[in-house]
Amino acid sequence: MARKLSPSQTRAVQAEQASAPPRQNRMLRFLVLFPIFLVAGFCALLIPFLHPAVTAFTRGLVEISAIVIRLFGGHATAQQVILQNPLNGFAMEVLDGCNGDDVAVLLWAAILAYPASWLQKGKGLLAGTATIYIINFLRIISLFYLGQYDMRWFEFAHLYVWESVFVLLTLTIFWTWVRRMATPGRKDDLAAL
Amino acid sequence: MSERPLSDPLRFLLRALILLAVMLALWWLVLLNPLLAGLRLSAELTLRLLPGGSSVSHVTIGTDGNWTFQVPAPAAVVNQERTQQMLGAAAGSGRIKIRSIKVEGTARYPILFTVSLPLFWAILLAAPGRPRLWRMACGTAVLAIFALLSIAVYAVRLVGGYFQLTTEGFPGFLMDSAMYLAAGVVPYLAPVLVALSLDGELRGLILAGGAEPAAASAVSAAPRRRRNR
Repeated sequence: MARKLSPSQTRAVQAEQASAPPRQNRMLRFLVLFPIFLVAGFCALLIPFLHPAVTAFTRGLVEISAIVIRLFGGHATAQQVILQNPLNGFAMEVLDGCNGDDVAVLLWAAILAYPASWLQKGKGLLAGTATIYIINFLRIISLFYLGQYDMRWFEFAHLYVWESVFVLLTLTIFWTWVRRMATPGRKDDLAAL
Repeated sequence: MSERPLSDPLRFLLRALILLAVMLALWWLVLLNPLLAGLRLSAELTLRLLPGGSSVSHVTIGTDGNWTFQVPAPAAVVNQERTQQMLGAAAGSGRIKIRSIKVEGTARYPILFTVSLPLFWAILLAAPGRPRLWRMACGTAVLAIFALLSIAVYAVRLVGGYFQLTTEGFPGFLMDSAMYLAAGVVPYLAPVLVALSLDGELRGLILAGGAEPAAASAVSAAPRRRRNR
């Protein structure tokens, strides 16, 4: 049941509604800003100046993957951006496009363009990016094992399955974030992802 | 015992993942060869529109799946000293003239350029509400155009690489960037953007963070009934 507002509260709500931009304008703003942020994000990834940072991140991802595989009794060594099984010689190179940066850019562009407070955006960016990188980490390990089993399945999973799954996941993360903002009382669905 | 229902985004994700598996299987086992044949034909017709390309342009797919592009050789490039040296013209002798060149590319990229279709179909079919055929058809056509553009980028890269025009410096950077976008970004990103552009219900649902249409209409109907009273 709705709580009855006092006259001063009603005036405050009316003032807030009057000062807030109409919903359609906010959506239009999103539709304009999203492609701009998306292009800016991909340009940033392509700038040679940033390549060392991207490669360092990829190297870290490969190092951690090797450590986790060894922790669970597997055999893996990391050499720069190459993850290798020393027993059978299988090696895979994690390229810049395979480190989850592409989908992170997609999510960042969507969240930054969406009309929300900076605090909400910050939470969304943090939780969403963490989810993407954790799942990308699982992807790398799964591909490492799949490649040792069958290279055809590796290619199929790498190029077609995982990349598509990542895009769907990013869309879902964004939707969950928006939904959570629309209903502030709900529990965090991002945690459920 | 009451079970907590899945939220709309999670329900969408589960539906889309299942549909993606089905669509990828359909694409790989049934549709891939006809799609590649269509793409090859479209690429050849596009190349024939190039100046001097009507008689020499051909695109063929080998038994190993590799693509061979036969394209008209641009006279401005062929007449360059560096190209002439590359073609084996001796100093002082006449210039070597060529009408067309053949470059071969791997099967991997053309296949990659069509993977946007199963992803697009999965998103549209997983979206709440009835699937609309015209949206599927429009989106498929738009993504087919993207695939054709991507093939064009790939062909330009192969030809540029043959003449060593796009292997280093700024042209090399531009070509690498275009190829990165064509092979690494467009096939996965375009289906989402096209689906959201065409499906207003899904777009509205995501951007408003609202409930699915049935629930949404129930919510919007409640105040209307109250007003009628």
